[in-house]
Amino acid sequence: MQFLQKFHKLGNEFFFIIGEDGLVFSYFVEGVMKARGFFTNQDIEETKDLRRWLMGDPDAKISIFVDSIDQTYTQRSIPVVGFWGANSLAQNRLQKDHAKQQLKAALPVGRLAKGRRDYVYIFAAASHEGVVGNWLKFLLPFPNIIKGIHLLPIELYSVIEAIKIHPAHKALTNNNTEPAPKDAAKLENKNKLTGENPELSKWELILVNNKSGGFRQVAYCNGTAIFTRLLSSSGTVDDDVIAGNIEQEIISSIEYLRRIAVTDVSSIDLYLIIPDTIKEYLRTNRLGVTSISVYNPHQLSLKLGNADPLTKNKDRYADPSILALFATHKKRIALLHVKETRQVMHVVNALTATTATIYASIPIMGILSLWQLFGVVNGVISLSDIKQQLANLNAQLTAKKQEKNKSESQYGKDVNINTIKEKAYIFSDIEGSLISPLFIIHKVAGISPAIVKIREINWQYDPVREGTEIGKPSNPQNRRRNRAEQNLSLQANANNSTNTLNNKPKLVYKYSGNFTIVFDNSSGNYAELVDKYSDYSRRLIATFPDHSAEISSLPQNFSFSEEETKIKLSVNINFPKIEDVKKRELKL
Amino acid sequence: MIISDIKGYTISRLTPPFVILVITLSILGSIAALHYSYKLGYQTQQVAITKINDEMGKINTEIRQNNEAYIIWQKLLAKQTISNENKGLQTDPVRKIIEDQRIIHKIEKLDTKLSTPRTNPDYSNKFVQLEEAEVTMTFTNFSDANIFAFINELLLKLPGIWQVTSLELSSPETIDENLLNAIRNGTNADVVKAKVEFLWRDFKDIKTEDSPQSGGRRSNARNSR
Repeated sequence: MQFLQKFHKLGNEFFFIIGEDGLVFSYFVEGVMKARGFFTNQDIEETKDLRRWLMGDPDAKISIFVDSIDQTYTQRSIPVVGFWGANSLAQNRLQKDHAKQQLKAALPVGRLAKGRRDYVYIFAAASHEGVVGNWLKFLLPFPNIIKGIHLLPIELYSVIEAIKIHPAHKALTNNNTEPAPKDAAKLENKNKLTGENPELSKWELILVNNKSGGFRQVAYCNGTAIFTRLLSSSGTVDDDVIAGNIEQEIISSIEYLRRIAVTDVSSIDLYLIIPDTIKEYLRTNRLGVTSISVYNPHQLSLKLGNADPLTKNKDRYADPSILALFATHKKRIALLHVKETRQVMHVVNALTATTATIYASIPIMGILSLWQLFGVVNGVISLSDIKQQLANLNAQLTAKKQEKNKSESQYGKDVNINTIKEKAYIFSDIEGSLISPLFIIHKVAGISPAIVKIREINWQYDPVREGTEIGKPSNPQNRRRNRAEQNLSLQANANNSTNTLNNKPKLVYKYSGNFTIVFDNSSGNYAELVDKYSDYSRRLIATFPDHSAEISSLPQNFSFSEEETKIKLSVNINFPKIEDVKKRELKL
Repeated sequence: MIISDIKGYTISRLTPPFVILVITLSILGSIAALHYSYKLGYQTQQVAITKINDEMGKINTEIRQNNEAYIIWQKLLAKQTISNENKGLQTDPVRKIIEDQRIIHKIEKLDTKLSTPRTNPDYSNKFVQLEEAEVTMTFTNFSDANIFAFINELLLKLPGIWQVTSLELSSPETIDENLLNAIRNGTNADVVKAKVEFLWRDFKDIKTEDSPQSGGRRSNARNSR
């Protein structure tokens, strides 16, 4: 911020007090007074130094405090319409009461204690012509911006506030029962704005000796300027006479205050900024105030911590000390403008807002830049890593390609590998379903070959894909139908793929063997026949554990005649087992 | 200052922040562009990695398929029924083998019927199709052992893939003097009657000029054995 202030010379300011006797100026560089002066008129020769200073720092802004005699402070009652409504009404009435170009302000005082409880405003106005107009005409051509015009009597309350806040003053007044100055100010503001506790008023008077105009006396009610008087000191040289005049003026003012007070007066504090030569003649016990604080200009500067090399103990005039205070205390009560300065300030405010926005965006962009920079650094590292990763992968890919070539070279030369692969995969799909009936027949024939002969064989085989019904008894008609259905359902996948088997269900098979066997019963012993039958049944099941194998029952009635020594039975073998089919169906 | 003189002030007031703004924006823009270029580069590399990974996945699959196919192929070559080049169902050699075996095993009354060869749509691939036909044989012999041996020899020696889909076999319930005389005379020896249905399948190579050649090799229809 310091850099910015230096860059834009934001801390450099010119302060002027325009009074009837002339113009007091102070030049502050970053809050420190660098120059001061007094100019009685706008002559080129007279204002040579002032011009030099103004031209020397065209970026320094100007604040003007009007201390002319031509100021009016009028009390106005505004009907109750709520505070903000009252403010608006007061502004409207102010515009009607005074000429357009006049410097004017409406200052809220409080509310009446009784009756309609109207809001009370002080309408302060000063002429923009005369000495003020002349000095404005002088200042406007300079490149310096006039940031505000203020009425000195109104703004002098900053001096009282500064004095009250100072610890030395608190100790001096020794009034611990009162609220702290900041709190008091808050209370006063509260009274002003809301009208609470309107029965009591706190009055403060200040009298300062200014080079620009003379003795400026201002009376404040709850911090608002109620009236002001200017005593010209020109022509009077005796300090005891001046002191007497001051006494008389203060007494008259207090008397006047008591007459115009809208509420009862709780206390009257008096602040005098006068040279020591007058102070020693002043009889303070005659004044009838609650407290008196008297300082010479240099003491005021010391007290407020604004002492600068340019103020001296013998100084008679308080203007430099007051301006030094204004240089550090930026808060103003009423900001006023004439047409020319207002137009410029509108542009300046817009520029300030634009500049502030730009400067505010720079740290954000700085953070974004850092963020992006972080991304760049991260990107460099990541890119390096990923390039390394890519190089490794390329090496792996090369190795894999070599491995692939090796896997292809094992087939030998002049071979179409794709053709072979397709054949291999077709065969692998078929292979599982290739089953020879001779193997089954051989196993059936091997069960008790001495007593059992196979007379007839009917073996049926049907390959199916998983998921189709394989539990149904097989016959040529079913086989043809199954095959046709499979062909239709799988044809959709048989397009343009090097291997159409990838997504197809596994090919399985089912078969059934119906064997007519002849059982040798030459012994004619029924019990022996039953034993042989049982033994054969057991062996049959044991031979085909993963099949459904069953044998027909022995005849219920037969005689032991010649023809019946050979008993014809039927053996059925089915694959897969019914239980396995159910399990498979559940799994699917 | 009056409003007519504000132009110079405006320029002098706005120039420094705008210069700083432009410089800051330039720095930010440059860094952002650099960041973007790195990001783009990273994304490009990532795409390349993804492509390589995909390619490696495909190559791995091909290697696995090659190795698996090689094992199966060796098995097929061992059967001596499949060659490097297949032309589908060839009836002439089949007819000869059946006739040879019929004589060897003394098969009588052999009647062979062949259905029209067709392409199995399950196995209609880019380079290879599977042709199939149903073959029905009826014949007799005095011994079931000869019949089984005949069928077994056919299954072993016939080119292509043969699958018995149906087998019906019956032997007479009684052997009388007439039957024995007939066997002795070599006539009417239909002691055991058999009806066998085969599903005959064989590969048929599809010749295409633009077929992609894995490993840059092209079939010359020569058996590598």
